[in-house]
Formats: sequence, C-alpha cells, structure tokens
Amino acid sequence: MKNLLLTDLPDDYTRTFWRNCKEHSLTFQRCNDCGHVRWPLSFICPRCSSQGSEWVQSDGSKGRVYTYIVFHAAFHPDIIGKTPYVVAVIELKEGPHFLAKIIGCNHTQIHCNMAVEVVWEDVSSELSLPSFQPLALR
Amino acid sequence: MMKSLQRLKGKYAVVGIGYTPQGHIENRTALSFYLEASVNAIRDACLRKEDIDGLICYRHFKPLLNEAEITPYLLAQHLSIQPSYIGQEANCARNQLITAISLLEAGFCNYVLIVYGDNALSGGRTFVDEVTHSEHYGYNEVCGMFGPIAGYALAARRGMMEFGTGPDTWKEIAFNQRQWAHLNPQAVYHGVPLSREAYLSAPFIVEPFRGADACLITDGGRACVVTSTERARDLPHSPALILGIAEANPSVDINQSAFMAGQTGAKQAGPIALKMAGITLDDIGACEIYDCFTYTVELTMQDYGFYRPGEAQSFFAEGRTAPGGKLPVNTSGGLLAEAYHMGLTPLTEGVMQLMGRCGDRQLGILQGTKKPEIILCSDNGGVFQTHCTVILGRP
Repeated sequence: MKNLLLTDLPDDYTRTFWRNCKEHSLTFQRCNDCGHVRWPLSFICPRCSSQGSEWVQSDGSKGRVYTYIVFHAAFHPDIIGKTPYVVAVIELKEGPHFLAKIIGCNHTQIHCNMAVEVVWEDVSSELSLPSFQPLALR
Repeated sequence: MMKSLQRLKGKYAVVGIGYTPQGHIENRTALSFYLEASVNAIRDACLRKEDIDGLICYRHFKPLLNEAEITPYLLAQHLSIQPSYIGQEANCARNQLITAISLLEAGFCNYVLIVYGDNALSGGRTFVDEVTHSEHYGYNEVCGMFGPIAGYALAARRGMMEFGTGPDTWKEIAFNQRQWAHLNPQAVYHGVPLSREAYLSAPFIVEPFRGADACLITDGGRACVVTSTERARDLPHSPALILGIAEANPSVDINQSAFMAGQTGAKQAGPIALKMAGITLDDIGACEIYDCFTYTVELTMQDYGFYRPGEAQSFFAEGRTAPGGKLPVNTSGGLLAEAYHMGLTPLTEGVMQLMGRCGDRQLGILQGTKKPEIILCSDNGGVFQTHCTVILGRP
C-alpha cells in the first residue's frame, strides 16, 4: 500500500477542496438551487439533482461528535507507533457528516455529541488535514 | 407489487448445497474453492453440470497468490459449461437470490448456481483496503480509517449512545454462536472455547470491537442450486422453499450515514418478505443472520422487530439463541465461528436445517430444540449499505 498521502485527485471539486484545506479553510459545495450543503463532493446535488454549486466555508467551531472509534491496532505501516488514535464522524452545523481524526486529547475523554472544533494538521507541503479537537479541552 | 410477490411465494427453492474443506487450507487458489463448491452443489442436487444455465458469483476481492481474477466465465470455462446467464456482483450488492428467482420466473434459466469461494486466510487477505469506499480515493486512509471493522465499529459506537448497547450485549451474541460452532465439526472454531469473561478481557482492535466481535477470515467455498419447486419434485432432497424475499439498499456510505443505530435495510425488507410469505415474526423457528460483526446481528434482528432498541442484551442473555434456547440464531456458528462465505454461510445453513441434514446441531433432534418449519436468513453488504431478507420453509 502506498504512503498515506492524497495524490492524483480526480476532478476540480476535489482539487478545490484540498487547495482550500491547504489554506486552512474547510469548504463544502452548496447547491445554487435548493441550498443543500453536500458532502461528499459531487457533480450533482443529492437532494434536487441540480448541477450548480458554490463553495461555502464551514464554521468549523460548531461540530459535534456523531460517533467515534479508537484504533488500538495499526493497519498500515505508516501508523505503527501511533496507536491508540481516534477517528470520528463529525456532524457539522452546516449539515455534512464528515470523517476526521480527533486529536489533542486522550481517547477516554471523548464521547458522542461532544462539541468539537476543527484544528489543522499540516501533513505535508501539499496536504493539510482537517482534524478536530474537543472544545472543552481547548 | 405486493400481489405479484405473493404469487411467487414458495414457487422457487434451493435444492442442493456444495461444501468444501474450510479453515486454513494451504496451496489452494480461490478458483479451486469455487470449482469444488460448484461441483458439490450440482452433485448434491443430483443434476448434471450441463443443467446449470444460470451462474451467479458473489463479488470477489482482489486476487491473492498471483492467481487469475475470478470471473463467472473463468468459472464456467473450468466447469466446461455454457450457461445462458452469467453474472457477478461487484460491490457487495446482495442480489444473487433475487436475480436467480427473476431469471427462473422470466424463463431465461431453469437451474441457477450461486457460488463464492476464497483463499483469504492462506493468501493473507487482511480486509484493510477491501470493502470500504472513501469520499475519494485515499481520504479514509489519511484519516487512519481502515477496513470494514472500522465502519461497523462507528455504527456500533453510535448504537451504544442511542440505545445503550455495548460489549455486554455483543459478548452474548459471540458466546451463543460459539456454542453452535461446538456442535459443527466443520466450523473453524469447533472446540475452540470462548467464555464471556474471555470475550471481555480480550484487547480492543478497533474500539468498541474486540477480536471476537469480528467474523472469521477463512479458506473455502460454498454454493447452492436454485430451481422451481415444480422441478425440485424430481430431485432427491426435500427442497427449501423461498417463501419470502426482499432487498433494501440504504446505500449511503457509513461515513455519512444516519442509520448507524437503524434503520437498516432489514427494517424495510423484513416486513416485505414476511408479508410475501404470509407470516409474522412469531412463525420464525430459527434465524440465520449475516454476522460480519456481532453488532450486525443485533441491529439486523432489532430492525426486524425481534426486540426493541436496547433490549438485545436481555434477548440474547441466558443462551436464548444458543443450542437449546428458544430462538436458535446462526446454528452453524455463522461467520463469527463457522467460516466466511459471505451470505452463503447463513443461507446454506438455513437450507440444510430445513432439509434435516445438520448432524449434531440439527434442530428438532438436538435436545431442547424444535423442528423448524420456517427459517429467516439475512444477507448484508458494504457497511449496512445493502441487505436481503430470505424466508425459507418446508414444502
């Protein structure tokens, strides 16, 4: 398996999303017709099938932990020595359910519905990853 | 739609099952297990291979041991048959049985073979990059999200929050199924003990799941033959009639899903299949539930309506679904303790129980059990993204 880096992105939507992430801006497509904010990135709105969309910035400070898991095993060579770590689905105020790491706290402190905010991890010169940390532990 | 489905009640049946050696079987290609299971199912039904005019494969993951990609025409070539219809689902759509019935009903086929095999254990399949699909390629991985265990664990954690389930429920499911495996000499965990205490003291892999929450990775294959109940009269086994069947496919990726604590496809497909069969849950004598993880069993049966959210722990407690219990569940040991053949593990066990061919674990002979008239089987794919309910009965 290759190293854990995002390369060879498939379309302008993905390239724009990750370029914005590099600027530490978490952005989503909002449908021009019905206003639905969608994730994953898509050519059409899953609600009204319209093609037109504009980018909106997420208020990354108003997320909640919808669910989370703790990896105690390393499933990839790049992960060895980094366990335990937490992956969660964050329910964002704008609507999307967004998969991300939770960092900056002990995994035993996390619970569902906990308020979290985005915190940026500069993984490489090309990639900044939107992760989250609990607001209460800021 | 319902009326036309009810017309199909009991019209088609499973008439033969093919087994292979299973567990850790070295020096075998996946194709060899497909072939052995196919031949055994055809023989079990007392058919000639030339009778098979429909061939349906479950999906196959990436080939291991540098072997050729498994395709239905490769299988047909090695069997030297030329079916009118060949098919293979690609992404865990659990449509094999509905496809078979549709082909039979339309008249394209008379005898449909459904088959799966893999050399997953000896080939070193890890299920790290199988099954899961990220938002775009590589996204799950940069988040550190690997494998179907992680997707189901996300769902299970939400279930803990929403309706108070957790390891105390799942240990009962794992424990009960292990008791069934002890009655099945072919089960990989036959004679391998699992106590409730051992379940709870094992380390987490992806919390909240421990090793005993996850299905086996095995070598082996499984197949079955489906035909009309009318044709089945000329065949040796008392057929397992398909009384009711329905699919429902929530489809949404687990990363965005809102059905981690239900409603799954079982909630939608279950009532349709029951209505087609003209029965209620009270008529179900046993269940063979797709059990890739313990929580899959809990949520599927919860969405069928066997218990209310949060009541699974008391439902599964005191061996209710174990040998001698009131409602037998996963009587071969299931994917958790027998072997992994996708939805064919539960389906073929339901068929064999109705045929009365299950040896020491045979319901109706095993002490404290009743002869089953109707068995509910389920199949499930992706991470709760696809689902099929099958209700089997006697002629």
